[in-house]
Amino acid sequence: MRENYILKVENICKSFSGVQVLKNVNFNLVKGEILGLVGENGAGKSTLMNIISGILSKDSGSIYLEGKDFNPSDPMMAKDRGIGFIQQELNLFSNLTVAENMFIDNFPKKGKIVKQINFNKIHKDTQKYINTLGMSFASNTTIENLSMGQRQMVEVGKALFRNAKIIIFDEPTTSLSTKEKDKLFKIIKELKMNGTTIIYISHLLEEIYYLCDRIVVLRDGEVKGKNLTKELTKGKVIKMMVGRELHKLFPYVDKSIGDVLFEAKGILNDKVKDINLFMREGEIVGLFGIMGAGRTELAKALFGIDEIESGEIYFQGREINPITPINCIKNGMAYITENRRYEGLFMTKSIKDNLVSVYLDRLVDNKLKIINKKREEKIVEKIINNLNIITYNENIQYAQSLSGGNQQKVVLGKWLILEPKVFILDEPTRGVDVGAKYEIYNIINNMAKNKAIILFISSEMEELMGTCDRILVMRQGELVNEFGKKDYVQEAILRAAIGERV
Amino acid sequence: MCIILKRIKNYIKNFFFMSPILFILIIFFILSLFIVPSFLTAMNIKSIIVQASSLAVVASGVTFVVLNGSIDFSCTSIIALGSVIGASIITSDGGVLVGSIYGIPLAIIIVLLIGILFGIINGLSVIFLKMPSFIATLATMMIGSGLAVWFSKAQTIFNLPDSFNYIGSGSILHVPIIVLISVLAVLILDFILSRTIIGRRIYAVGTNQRASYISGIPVKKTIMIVFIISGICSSITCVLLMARLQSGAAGLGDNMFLDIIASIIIGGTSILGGSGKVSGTIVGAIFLTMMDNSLNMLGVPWFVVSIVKGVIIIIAAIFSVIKR
Repeated sequence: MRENYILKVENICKSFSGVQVLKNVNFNLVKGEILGLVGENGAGKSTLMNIISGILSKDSGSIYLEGKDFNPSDPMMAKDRGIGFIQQELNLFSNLTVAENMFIDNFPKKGKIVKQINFNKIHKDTQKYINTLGMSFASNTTIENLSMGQRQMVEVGKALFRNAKIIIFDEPTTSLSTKEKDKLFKIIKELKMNGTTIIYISHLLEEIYYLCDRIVVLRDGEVKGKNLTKELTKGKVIKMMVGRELHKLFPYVDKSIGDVLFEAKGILNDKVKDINLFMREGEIVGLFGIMGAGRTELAKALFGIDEIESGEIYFQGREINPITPINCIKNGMAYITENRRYEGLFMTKSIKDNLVSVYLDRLVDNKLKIINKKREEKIVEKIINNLNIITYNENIQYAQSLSGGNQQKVVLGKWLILEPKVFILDEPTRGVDVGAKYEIYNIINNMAKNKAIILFISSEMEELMGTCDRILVMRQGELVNEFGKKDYVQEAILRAAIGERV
Repeated sequence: MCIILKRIKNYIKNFFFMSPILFILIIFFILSLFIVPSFLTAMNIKSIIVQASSLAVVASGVTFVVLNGSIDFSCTSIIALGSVIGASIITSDGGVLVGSIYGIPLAIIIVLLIGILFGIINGLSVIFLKMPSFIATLATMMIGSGLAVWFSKAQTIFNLPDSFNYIGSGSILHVPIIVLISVLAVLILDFILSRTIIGRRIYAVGTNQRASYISGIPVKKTIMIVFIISGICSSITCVLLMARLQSGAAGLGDNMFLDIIASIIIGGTSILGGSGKVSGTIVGAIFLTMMDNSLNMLGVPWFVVSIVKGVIIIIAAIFSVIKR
């Protein structure tokens, strides 16, 4: 049997800044099979694949490729040894042609004195690969003129051209249409017939069951199961994916939930489909879904950051119109973005400047719009003490030099000054250590106790179950399910999120 | 009294820390005292300050635009166009309003309106046509200077009324009126930037436009304000230059642009936007003018002066990297 393994992974460990992401991962890859790799967001799938394809280095453990030690120090080396990695975010130069992309790392040259790219050759070769893949575009098409599915095929072609023996697909179908998906599956099956080995990562069990011979389940960086597909029911796989105990990680607060105060009706744009939701006074509503389900997009639509085609938002019986950030803030809403770095903070500004950035209007008490510095100082000091933000000097220290947890507290603080009544939190605990997480849950609980409405978006089901009164589930831009606190069952929620009726 | 002294001390200390270029300026000043003959005469110092002050006003205005992460090329063409139109109204060689008591105020208002108009056009192009400011203001610069030549038929317009020229030559308590106006202007600009909500918004939008938008800061309005301020400052400089040179010409302010940008960069404002101060730009303007003056008096040819300016900009850039 041993010689049948094209890839053996033994005891791989990896940690990022003290957090262990992979713990003694073991699995084998049989030559010519399609292996499905499943796990929740953050289970370590992408990290593992990044190590195999040379993008990240492992802390310990060993990898054998075709029986020989395999220790890629960079992506180029992995490619040379026959590993093709098609990432979720495609690595194509959209301003270059298909042929140029195919050969970008190894242009064939011609000419003796003046070396120039042999364009004839790259176009001829590329066209050959395009035709083999059953595609109909020309090799001199620029990438930006291709659909997502076609782009994916270019990546596949790139891997094939380098004689990849193993091709890794990381969630390849998230941006594909059904037709493109079918085509991709056909190609993958053909690749298998020709002896290429495939690792296929997906959240969608349907795809895994359709394609894969074997399934490896990762949970919290550990392998929780590796079986032939036919030996596993979908229910079993889901159980392996989530089967954790709820830890005592979540603070409890005694609060009361009032009447429905916030309502969104028929929110529609190209990312979210006809969303209707309501929230009660003092209620913490969780919003769960797999990546790409449209949670962030819904939040951005509700806060007026992304435009909507139709839909209405009511708060305390009044319509919020127009739906723009300025108007939403005026009506007592607040939004913490998932993207702290680019949308939440002014990284090269001081903590003080960040904290007062949404409060400026209320720091002026005259027509000349002069800022009342004393009031500013007072309010900044108060919020820093309340949230326990650790800084040596809030007037000098830049936001970018704070730890993740403290940065998040600054973002929270900046909105808390406004005492919002509707608070949309998008992944507020991402990249935050356990201690700070607990503090953030406390802040959220206290807001709800003070009658604020909270919409809590997270990919960590545990924290939603631990803090929310109700969990809404989104899938492909739609709200598909709702769970009351009594009905929290991890499997059921995950099933709703990935669209399985097992 | 003691508190005030302490405050002044603190201010100077902060300023030193924030703007190492001030340090260089002082060294340069001391060196010039010894090397350049008749550098420290009342006449010469006055001429440096007068020259620097008109540069400082327009450069401070453009600083607002640079803080926003943009650029305003049109500033010099506002000066050119403003001066020929303004002068043509009040010149005794057939001016429309020659001799009228409304002539001078009206001419000044029209020059200001030209600046505001250019600011609005620049702002609209950047906000609604989504043009990079580099292109939008390059276009308005070319249009403006073209119009100035066309309007003046490439002739310098002389014979402005004495009461207007008095702005350029007169003094109050030995302080030239030009300097008084400039100081007032830059104080207001500095106040807007450091003390008002508009100033904070300018910094925020210049640092991260998207985060500003999500934070409910009126991004479009802020960008518009920035370009209008820049336009108004160009207009003020235009009036000061007209009064000092007692004429209007399409060539006025022609070679000022590089000094404007150099003042801003030397003053420590980040060309990427978001950080910088009016006070830095003022130091930059004084420094450049003083350097021009002393090197000129030493008989150093203009191309060497240009090389020295380039070196100074590099040094300023190095300082700003070190500071980070």
